[in-house]
Amino acid sequence: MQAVRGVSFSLYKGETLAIVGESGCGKSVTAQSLMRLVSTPPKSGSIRYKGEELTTKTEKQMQKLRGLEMGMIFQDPMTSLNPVITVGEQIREGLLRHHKMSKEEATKESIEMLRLVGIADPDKRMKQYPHQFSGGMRQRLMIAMALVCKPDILIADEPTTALDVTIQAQIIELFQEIQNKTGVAIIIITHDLGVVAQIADRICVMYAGKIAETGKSYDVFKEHRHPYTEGILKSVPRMDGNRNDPLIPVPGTPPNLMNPPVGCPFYMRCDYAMKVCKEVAPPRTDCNESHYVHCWLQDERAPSIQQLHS
Amino acid sequence: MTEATPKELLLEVDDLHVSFPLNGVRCRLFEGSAFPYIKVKR
Repeated sequence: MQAVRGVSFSLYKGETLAIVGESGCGKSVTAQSLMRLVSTPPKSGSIRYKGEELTTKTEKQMQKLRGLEMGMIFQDPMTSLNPVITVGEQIREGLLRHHKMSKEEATKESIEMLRLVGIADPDKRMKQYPHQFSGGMRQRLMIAMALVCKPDILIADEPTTALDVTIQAQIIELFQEIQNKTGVAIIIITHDLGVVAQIADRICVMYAGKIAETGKSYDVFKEHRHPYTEGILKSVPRMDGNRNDPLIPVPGTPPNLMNPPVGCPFYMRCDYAMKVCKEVAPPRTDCNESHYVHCWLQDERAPSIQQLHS
Repeated sequence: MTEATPKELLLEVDDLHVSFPLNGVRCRLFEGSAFPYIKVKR
């Protein structure tokens, strides 16, 4: 299964990068590969953190990095928390391991972190178990756990998917608040474009293990060039739209990544597909310094969209 | 953060390829039937 096929991106201090795409496009595998949580190491390519190559690090070296330099939050907080250990113990574990603090110091620091993520009465809550917290509160615990060692990068893999919409909004606000206070860089993986619009500085749109389009949020939302980006944006309900207008889904399904197509992976579902799309993978076209797209329509020899429809 | 501030590069991913095997999993779904219960032999 070729889950990730030539993905490139960069992340700067204090910014939020959103990775979006439909289920099975390789978003989570990309994120897990950054922390080397995928059972098979990357086949090729490089991951450099502060100039250091991560793909060649040993498991022991990676363990020192996980939690301390990079924190991660997963989709479902209940399955990520240990149900038989108090939340306090789970949060301070990182501090005891990475900062060699005494238990008292680690407890004090953990209480401060619980306060930062908006958990009331943190001294009392430290002694409780995960089942004594609501879904939103559990996700706050996960955020506290991921940030307690003050990592430079927080990777959030669909952090709001398992939560109801009112709690989703609170969690997104919490991310923004924490980023303003700590300067942590966030990689957020989601298929919720509402979340992306609210929080992301830059967006990577992934499709079939590749990056279809990437750029600053404004460029991707307003100046997008890839038909897949257009498709996912059209499939989302809009507050300013006509309520009688039907949503336009992207027809078809993604290709099988056991045997991916040689050309553009989106050509079977694309309204503007040309012969070349089936045969040759589209090269990267730079639209501006931070916005690029992999689509043959951007090639200077390509006909215009109007010509393709006539 | 203002645009004029030079940003510190934290992470750079370049041409990353990740693949993994799906060992021995085989499922068949027939028209009109529910997804089959998968029995794992120990």
